[in-house]
Amino acid sequence: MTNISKRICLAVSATLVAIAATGCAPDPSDAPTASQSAVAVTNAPDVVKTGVVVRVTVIDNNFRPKKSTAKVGDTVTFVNKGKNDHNVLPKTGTDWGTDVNGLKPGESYSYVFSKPGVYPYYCSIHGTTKVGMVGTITVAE
Amino acid sequence: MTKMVRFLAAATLLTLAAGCSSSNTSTGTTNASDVSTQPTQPADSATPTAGATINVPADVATIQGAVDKAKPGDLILIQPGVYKEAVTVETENLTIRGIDRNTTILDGNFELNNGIKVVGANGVAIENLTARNYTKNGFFWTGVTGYRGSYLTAFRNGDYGIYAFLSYKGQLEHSYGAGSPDAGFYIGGCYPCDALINDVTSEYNGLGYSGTNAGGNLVIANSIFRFNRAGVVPNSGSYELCYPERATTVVGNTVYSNNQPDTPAIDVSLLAMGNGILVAGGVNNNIERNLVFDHDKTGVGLVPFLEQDPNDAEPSQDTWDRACADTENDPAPDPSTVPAAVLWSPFNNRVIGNVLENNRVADIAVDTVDVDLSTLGNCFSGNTFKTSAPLDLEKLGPCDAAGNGGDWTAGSLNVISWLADVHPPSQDYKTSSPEPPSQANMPDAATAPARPATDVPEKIDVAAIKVPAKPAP
Repeated sequence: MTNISKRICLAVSATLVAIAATGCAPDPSDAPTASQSAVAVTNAPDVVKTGVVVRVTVIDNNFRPKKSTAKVGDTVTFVNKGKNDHNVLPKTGTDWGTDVNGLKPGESYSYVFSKPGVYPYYCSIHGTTKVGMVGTITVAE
Repeated sequence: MTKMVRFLAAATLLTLAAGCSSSNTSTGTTNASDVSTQPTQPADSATPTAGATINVPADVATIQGAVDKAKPGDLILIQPGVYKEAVTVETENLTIRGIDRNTTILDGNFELNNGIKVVGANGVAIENLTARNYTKNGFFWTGVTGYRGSYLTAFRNGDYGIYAFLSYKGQLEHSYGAGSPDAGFYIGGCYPCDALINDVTSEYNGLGYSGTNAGGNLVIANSIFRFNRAGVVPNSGSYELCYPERATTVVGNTVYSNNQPDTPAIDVSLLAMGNGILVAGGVNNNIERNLVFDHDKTGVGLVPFLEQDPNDAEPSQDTWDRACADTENDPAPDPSTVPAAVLWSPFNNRVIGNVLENNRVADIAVDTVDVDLSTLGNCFSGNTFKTSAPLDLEKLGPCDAAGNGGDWTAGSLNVISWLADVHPPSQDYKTSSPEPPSQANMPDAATAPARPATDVPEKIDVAAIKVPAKPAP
């Protein structure tokens, strides 16, 4: 083991010991859960899933890409890779989307669209239905 | 051990640190129309014309109602009271002003997200108000050209106190930010920003100032950053667009005692703890004539920022001068080209004429990982200091002169060791910060005419700014 390796290992060990000693372990309610990392899909069970995942990366304060395309049955997954919380709300209706508290960093949300159409969405924390942190998914047959 | 393995080891530590900073709990959002204001009956009879004054609550009961009724150029004048609203502004060139800064208060009751959010509306000025107890931000502009915040107080808010994102031509002045786990003041995602922070005080936050991927005629001047986890932290990262952070001037500020153990703090605030001015992976910044004292680590530190699981690879140096407007429609990167981690190193920063004392690891410092420090282009001249890391830093890397060719590894900062540091955990932003002292009011708030943010930032004579005098104990 090189000197730098030893330093890193010591640093890791020291941090782990210190976290245990100070009670600074992540609160279970805050830690990413299996369901978050496994991505729970929330829509109706009658959708025939294609198995294709269309990913939208959520950063501070943008959806990337802003415009996505998917097909009916694809799983559209929003992953918060920013430092701040973000929600994903449909511009109209409430059939899909996160709640207003949204996604903490590292969390994700998925939905399988069952009908073709254009689905605009936004983050109400960092935008409005019209401007700011907005995006669109176009779903084809 | 390879560099990448070392990155991943460090990334594990960052993850652990992030798990300790969970104070930012959302409690739900209520529409402004769902809540009432404390002041009494609405008249709702005013039909404002451009340049009109709309009085709240005499003319319209709520601030949101007044904003919705206003036309560009109008002044919204708010009487003292506690307004439990989350206001969204989409009309340009408004001036929104409180009669008394300390008693005209927007209160989110730890349920509403932003006190005033200006979205895509250019030229909106907000003056002489307090915003407290919001789950996200006190005052927030995003996607605008022209913004001004004057005589504002923001405290006990869950992300930032006063926040400008993807916005240009702005000025934040005579204002106070406290008790936020991220930063009291934040300007991010703009280049060139054309913005000025002048005469503000930021304390009891995770960071006094944070500016991710900001810069370009961005001046932070004549302000006080104290009692935060860390003071002034320009930083780079691909969790926002338009990286890296670059070309910020930090001049004439008083930065001290940023070791505060009992503030709310996000992960990077914990990692940065104990530093006065910390450039974390930023480039081409000027750190000049600041007074910086009493820090557990560095007074002015130029350090790398390790970003685990980034959203993009580090941009090449020949793209550093791209305006953000040119990058907004860049396609998302191909995931196969994104590395497991990015180390943002500090390049070409100039640290000149600062007065530093009692910064207990080093008054001035530079470090990175696995890169020859002499090749980064950072320089140090004319500072008043006792300690540096590496040793003899002003001789190794003077500004506008050749270095002495000495050893850049002697007396290294050893920034890797910071990853093993244990810091007091984040405190709940709802309860951890003290009530702010009464703050100075805007002169003639009741009678001054509307002044939308069409004339900012004002030009200041940066060269004339001197090192501040040390404050009385």
